[in-house]
Order: sequence, then structure tokens, then C-alpha cells
Amino acid sequence: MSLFSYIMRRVLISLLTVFVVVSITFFLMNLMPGDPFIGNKAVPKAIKDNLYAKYGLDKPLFERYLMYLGNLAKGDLGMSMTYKNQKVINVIKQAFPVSADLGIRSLIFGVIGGLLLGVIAALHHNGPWDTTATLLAIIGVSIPGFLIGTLVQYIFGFLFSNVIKDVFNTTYQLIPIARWEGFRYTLLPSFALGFSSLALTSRMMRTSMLDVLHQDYIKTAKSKGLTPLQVTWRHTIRNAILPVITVLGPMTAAIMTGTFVIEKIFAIPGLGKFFVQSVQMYDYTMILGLTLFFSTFLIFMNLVVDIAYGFIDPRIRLAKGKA
Amino acid sequence: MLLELKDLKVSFDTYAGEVQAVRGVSFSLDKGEVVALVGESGCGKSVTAQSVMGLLAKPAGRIKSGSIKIEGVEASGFSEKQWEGIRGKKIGMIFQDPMTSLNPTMTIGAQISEGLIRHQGMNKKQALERAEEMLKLVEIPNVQERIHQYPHEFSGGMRQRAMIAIALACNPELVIADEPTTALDVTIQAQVLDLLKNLQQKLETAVIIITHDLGVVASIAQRVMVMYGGIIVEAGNLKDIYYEGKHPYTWGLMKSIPRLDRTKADELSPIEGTPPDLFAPPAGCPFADRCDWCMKVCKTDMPPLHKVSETHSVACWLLHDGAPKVESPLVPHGATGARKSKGARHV
Amino acid sequence: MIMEANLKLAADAFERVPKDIAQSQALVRPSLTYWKDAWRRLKKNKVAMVCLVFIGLIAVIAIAGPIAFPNYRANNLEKTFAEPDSVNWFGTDDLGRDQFARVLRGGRVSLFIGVTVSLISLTIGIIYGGLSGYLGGWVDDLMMRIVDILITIPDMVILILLLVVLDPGIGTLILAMSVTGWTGMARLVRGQVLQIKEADFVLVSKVLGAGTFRIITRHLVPNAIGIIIVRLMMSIPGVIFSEAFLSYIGLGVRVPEASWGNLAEAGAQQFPNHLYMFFIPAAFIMFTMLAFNLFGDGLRDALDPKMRK
Ligand SMILES: Nc1ncnc2c1ncn2[C@@H]1O[C@H](COP(=O)(O)OP(=O)(O)OP(=O)(O)O)[C@@H](O)[C@H]1O
Ligand code: SF4
Ligand SMILES: [Mg+2]
Repeated sequence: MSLFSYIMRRVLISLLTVFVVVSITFFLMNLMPGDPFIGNKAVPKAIKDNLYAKYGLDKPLFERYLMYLGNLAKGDLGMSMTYKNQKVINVIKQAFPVSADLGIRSLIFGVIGGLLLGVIAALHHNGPWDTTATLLAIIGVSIPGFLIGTLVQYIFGFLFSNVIKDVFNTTYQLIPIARWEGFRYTLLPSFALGFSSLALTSRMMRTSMLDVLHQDYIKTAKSKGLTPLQVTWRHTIRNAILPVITVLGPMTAAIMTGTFVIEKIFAIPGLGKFFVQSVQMYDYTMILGLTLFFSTFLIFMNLVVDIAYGFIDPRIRLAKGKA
Repeated sequence: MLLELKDLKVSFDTYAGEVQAVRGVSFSLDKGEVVALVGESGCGKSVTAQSVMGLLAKPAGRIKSGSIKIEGVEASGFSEKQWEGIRGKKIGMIFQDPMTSLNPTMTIGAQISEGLIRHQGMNKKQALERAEEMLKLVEIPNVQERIHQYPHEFSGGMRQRAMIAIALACNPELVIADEPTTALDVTIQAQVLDLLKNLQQKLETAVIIITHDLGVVASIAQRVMVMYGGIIVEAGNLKDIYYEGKHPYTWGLMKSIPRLDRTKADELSPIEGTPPDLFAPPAGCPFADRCDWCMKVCKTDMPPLHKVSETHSVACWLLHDGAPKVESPLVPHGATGARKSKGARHV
Repeated sequence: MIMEANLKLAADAFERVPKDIAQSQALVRPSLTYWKDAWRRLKKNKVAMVCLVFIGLIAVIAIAGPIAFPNYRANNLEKTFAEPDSVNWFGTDDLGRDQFARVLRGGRVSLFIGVTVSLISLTIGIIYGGLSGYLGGWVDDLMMRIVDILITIPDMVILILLLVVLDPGIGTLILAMSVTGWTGMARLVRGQVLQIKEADFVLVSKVLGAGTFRIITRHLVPNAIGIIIVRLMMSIPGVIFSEAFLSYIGLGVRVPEASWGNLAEAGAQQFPNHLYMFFIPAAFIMFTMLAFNLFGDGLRDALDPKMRK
């Protein structure tokens, strides 16, 4: 498979997936039992019909589906049903940059930290460093995001600030535990959100390193008389890192879902918070719009990662014709 | 003396206990000499080679006793730093499987250059120029283009040529080729072997060639060491082994060389059975269970080394004065076909 | 090497004895079956064994606990938000319910969901992946393209959609998680089936059928089963994790039913007051996850055929 057909294939699968997601989302939402207008109150039929007409809910399902597709093509995700006069797309425009900012910080922290930890662990296979890194990684995978979020909040917001209050007699918070107003505010949420990525990356990297270390070409490298550092850097790490690149896609997904929880804990006005709210309020169009946005975003990220991988790995980049 | 091994013993510590992979190997090698190390799978050939390169798998593998002298210097206690000065510079190595022994994400040129930069203090540009020369030397066409390609763009034979270029890049005194042709197609095998032979003559490098196949050896080696069960059971020059082989295992190996001139009567016949597990090697002759001439003493005592001539030695009880005299079962036309059949892989 | 010397030899030393091919082929190394070998290595792994014991304990608690302490729904408005004491070991919640009974009940529900979803995903995965790998050709191609697409859809999105649409409840939760959980398993099973098929093909053509069956049943099938068991083991904590996450954003198990996830959520709502309400269930989630993950790791290492020898 050449690089071109590799990319085309990925793009096609991605487009198809987006279409499937759009359809599934639409039809599922129309099965929903809840109703944004009724709630528990008895609403006069006339008013209800009026509202239904306004949001197009009185039309046949298939017609609504086509309408929906048409609007999507125009980039119109509809109006929120609970926030007055809010377009879904505007909510995304306003809240997504905050989430993206948080996500990127966490990803950088997680990936770089994880790679380092994984390399150290593999090079000291079965030694104390390996045990430490493995344990940390396992804890990272086992500890739910809400627990680590709440835990750091508790430590810094209560234990730590109590100490500061006692010693310096001030309520100043060096590392704030809520809101999103500057670099200091980003530290705890990024740590809490990135920790599981760190764990995942370090596990992957460790396994991959150990795998590469058993390869014949490492023996070749050693037989050239290279220093351990050269063998590790030029031959081991460069090859071991390739499969780790592929988890960047799923990891982005994990970070994104993580924002649902972390944004709630740290009161960050990101998209995750809106999503959770809209779910709880049965805001049809908002759920639909955000779901579509999240899916498309993730599918796109996966595509980017896959294509990047194709460019980085010479075996794919330079492949000619059929494999 | 370029290389001298004395009673080398190497063991691996595994969960089940100690695997005695090499149980007392002695030989020496002069500058420019080509010797072959022949034997079935699991006889300790690769482990012997790894010991000479300081590449035993750590921490399981260790040199139990004996000595390895490289240019007269005792190397068995070398530090990792000292080995780095030997590997690639004094001794180059060619591995069995060219498909897996090249780094898939590095260009061929870079892989040849590495050793040069490390050992000869060249900069990248000089090293690449030299790498180009090396690729020409191993007869790779289109060098200008090939040098910037990755291993997956090379065929198996070309990769093994590139491996040879890597091993020879720093003009080592010795090259160890561990089954360099086993993984290749028959026709390619012959080409690679010829190339190795020509280069050896041109550069006057000493070579230890490890193989399963006595047929491969005839064309290239001056001396042959037959290894079995962690020891060398017979050693001698080509004539000693091919025409005057004395060890039943050597006879077995000779019989299993596929030959073009074989008649129905002496058809190819592999040796029955398998080599001993070196986890618990037998007290006596390692070949005893498979030997048609096995005697009582073979089961209990390790056969002593018997010097047949200045060049030829055999470890077999049959050569003891008290033993019955036996004739070699090999048909007199001996090794005439050996050269023709270098492509075969049977044992 | 012994040089020829004047060795003292018995008189009959040079008597001929027949060769003994069978002896040469006898395995001297202690040879173990796949499972015994794996068990031996697993037993040596202390961490994994501790985790196994812990998992066993949690299982006992989940099964027997709610029988011994059944009152997980009983309100007691006289005694709300009580710190842990000798009557309510884990304290009480906003309605005075005994947190200890709720944590036991929550363990049962969380584990039940974890195990059930994993088993359902496994079953679907084996059927789908097995069929795909077994049939091969264009059917396999088509079936795998479908999986490719399904895997590309982010799990959480589907999960949340399904949970919003369907009636809330444990059944819905199990259904939704199974819908998203089987694809990975299907891929894994297909890969293993293909490997066995390939080996079968190679062996039949090369070894004339002799011993093929033995190699497949003794080596390849146990190996495939081993890999699948490890995946199953790793999937249980994943499901427990997701349940906790969903409960936390309000889509999981609903009160008065208890799960570790919704207990932690209830605790988080009181945060930073009544810390015991948050940290006790959270600790149960964490330690159970840890035990499953560490045990899964140990199991994988023990079953990994690459590490045999
Ligand atoms: N890293 C290791 N750990 C444990 N045992 C080992 C290791 N490397 C080699 N051995 C054992 O040492 C013995 C000799 O192995 P060696 O690789 O030298 O055989 P060989 O003669 O090169 O055979 P082949 O032709 O298959 O390459 C074998 O019994 C093998 O099991
Ligand atoms: S020592 Fe005995 S068993 Fe060994 S090769 Fe010689 S005759 Fe055969
Ligand atoms: Mg070998």
C-alpha cells in the first residue's frame, strides 16, 4: 500500500464513520423518552404544538433527518432548547477553546512524563526504578479521574492552604483549586486530567521498549561497538516510540471525556461542563450537536494521528504499490 | 595469535537451573585465517561467538571459566567500555537473519556510518562517503540511491550484503558470521558466500563462519571445528575433516550433506535423534545416545582429546588404544560434491 | 578438555552398547503443560497473588455482604451525615442510610456490572471475531470494516447517547456498555483465529498432518485462550471504571440503588464536608481497580509464551 492509498483509506473510513455517527445520533435522539418542554408540568396542548412546530418536531422523522443533514452541511447545529436564544454552534465556539487549552496542557504533561517514565523503567527492567514506574503507571490507570481531581483539590485547597494560613497568616492561594483565570489556575486540573495519560503512555512505552530491546537489530547495534546511550537513543527509543504514537488518538478521547469530570470539579467553563448539563436537562439539540462535535473532533484527531504515523514510519511512507 | 580460547565454559541461569551452553572450548585463530564452526542447532555455536564479542545475554549468561585472548589480551573480564573498543573495531559480526538484524527506521547509509563515526573519528560526511565505498565493495548497484534507502526497500540478499558492509566497515581483524546464509534462498546463498570469500581474500580479514552445513564450509574455510553438545568434538583442516574424519558425528554430518553425485546406495541420511539438552548434559560423550559405535565407556566418561596429527584432533573413545578399530563408513569419493552443494541447508 | 592420558579403564570399557535414540530425544528439562507452567510463574509473582486474594475477598464481600447487611435502603432521618461509629461503621448519608450496607451493596452492583458486561462483550466478540476469522475472504473483510468504523466512534459518546435515550437502570447500563465493549474483543479473537488457521495450514502442508493437531491443541489454542483471558481480566476494571464515571456525571446507577460510582458521586456532592462519604467508596473503587490491573498484568506475564524457556 502506498502512502497515498493509505491516507485515502483512512480519510474514507473517517468520513464514513462521521456519517454513521450523525445518523445514529439523530435516530437515537428521536427515541428519547424525556421531553424538554414538558418536564413534570402539564402544558396546554396548543402551547406544546406551537413549540413542536417551532423546533420542527411535528414533521415526519425522515423529513426531519434530511432537514438535519442539510443544516449540518451548512454548519448549523440548531438552537439550544434550554438556553434562550443560544445557538449550539456558539456554545461550542465559546467553550471549546477552554477545553482544548486544558486538554493540550494535560496531553503534553502526560505524554512527555509518560515517555520518560517508560524509558527509565524499561532500561532498568526488574530494578527498583522499573517497580516504581510500573506502580505509578498502574495507580494512574486505576485511579478514577474524579478521585484524583478531588484529591488534589483537597490537598491543595484545604491541607496546604491551612498550612499557609497558619505559617504566613494569609489566605492567598499559590495554586488555586478552581476557575480558569491564568497559568496558576491550570496546574491542578492539567495534572489531574493528564495523570492517566501519563500512566498509559509510560506503560505503552515500557512494553514497546522491552520489545525492541529483544530485537536482532539491537544486537547489531551493539556489535558495532556503539555506546549504551547511542544504542538506547538511536536504535531503541526511535523504534519503540512508533507504536506509542498510535495511542495518541484514543488518548485524546480519554482526555476529552476526562474533561467532563475535571471541568465540573474545578469549575472550568469548558465544553465538558455544558455537555453534562445538557444531558441532565434533556436538551435534545444541544446533546445532538455536542455529540456530533465531539465525535467528529475525535475521528479527525485519530485521522491526524494515523496520517502522522504514516509519515513518520518509513515502512509506510516509502512503501510502493501493494504490500 | 589473533584469537585464543582456552577451555571456555559458558552457562545460562534459567528458571530450571543452569544451562551449560559451552562446556570447555579451546581453539586459536591467526590473522587472515578462515575457520568454520559446524554443528547442529543448540550445540553452543552462537554462544561461543557471543562470548568472543562480549555479547552474552545479561544477566542470565556468564563465563564460568576459561580464557578468551584477543591479540594476546585477556578479554573475559573486560568491562563494557573495553568491549565497545573491540566490537565493530577489532571484530565485526554478521547475523543470521538479514530481515530482522537491520534497524527498520534508519537508512542503510546511516547504519554503516555509525560504527565509522564511533571508531574512526569520522564526521557524518566522511562516514557516508566511506559507507558508499563499502556498499560498492559488497556489490550493491545504484549505491548513490541505495545508501539513502531503508532496509525494507532492500531484498534479503541485499540486506545481508549491507550487513557485511556494516561488519567490515572499520576494517576489523576478525569477522564472525553466524549462519550468514541460512535465512536466504539457495541461489542467493551462493552469491553471498562467494562475496564473503572474495572480500576475505581481498581484505585478509580473519573469519569465523558458523553453520549447520558442512557443504557451505568447503568453499571458504581452511580449518573446520565440529561442535557438539557444547564441546568441539573434532577439529582439523579441510582435508582432515572431509577425507580423514574420525568422529562418528562428523561422519553423520558428512552423510547428511545433500550432494549431486549421490548414488542410491549412499542416499542423504540425516542423523537420527536430537542433540542433548545442555540443561543436563550427559557425563560421558554427548553423542553417545545417537552413536552407532557407542561403547560402555562412552556413557560414563568424557572422551579425551586425541591428536591424530599436528592439525587434526578428535574427542572420541574409538581412537583409544584399547578400542576396536573401525573404518569410516563414508564412501571413498568423499567430499567431491561438497562444493557444488553449498546451497543446501539440511543437517 | 581432557587430554589423552593413561586413564584407568574397566576391562569391559570398550564393549559395544546399542545407541538409544529415544533417550536422546527425551526431555531432560522439567516439561510442564502450558497451564501448569503459567500457574508456576504466577505463583512466583507475589504482587499478583496478593491481588488474587484481594479480588477473592472482594468477590466474597460482594456476594455475602449484602446478605449479612441488607438494610442499604433504610432511611433514618434521626441520624443523617453521621461520622463512622460503632453502629454505622462507614457513617450514614444525607438520609441516614447506613453507608457500610450501601458500600457492600454497591460492591455487588459494580462487580456484577463489570463481570456481566465483560462476559457479554466476550461472547459477542468470540462469535463475531471467530466467524469473521473462520470464514475469511470478503466476509471477513466486510465484518472487519464494520468493526473499524465502530471502533472509530468514541465509546463515551455512544454510551451517553444510549443512556440518555433508554430508561435508566442497571439493565440499560449493561446493554449500553456491552454495545461498545465487544469490538475490541472481536478483533482480538479474529487475530487469534487467523493465527491458528495459518499455523494449521502451514503444518498440514509441511508436517504431513502428523502432530498438527497436537501442536494446535497443546500450544496455539491454550495460547489464544490465555490472551483472551488476560483481556477479559483487564476489561472488568475498565467497566467498573466507566460505571463510576457515568454515575459521576449523573448517568449511572440511580439512588436508592447503590453502586460504588454513585456512592462516590453522592460523597462528592457533599465535598469538602463529610469526607468519609467520598473517600470510602472512592478507595474501594481504586483498590479494586488496582487489584484487577496488577493481577491482569501478572497473568499476562505468566501466560506470555515469549517468556517461556
Ligand atoms: N539467553 C539464553 N538463555 C538461556 N539459554 C540460552 C540462551 N542462549 C542460548 N541458550 C542455550 O544455549 C544452548 C546453545 O545455544 P546456541 O544458540 O549457542 O546454539 P547454536 O549452536 O548457535 O544453535 P543454532 O544453530 O540453533 O543457532 C542452547 O541449549 C540454548 O538453549
Ligand atoms: S566417544 Fe563413543 S559415543 Fe562418542 S562418538 Fe566416540 S564412539 Fe561414539
Ligand atoms: Mg546459533
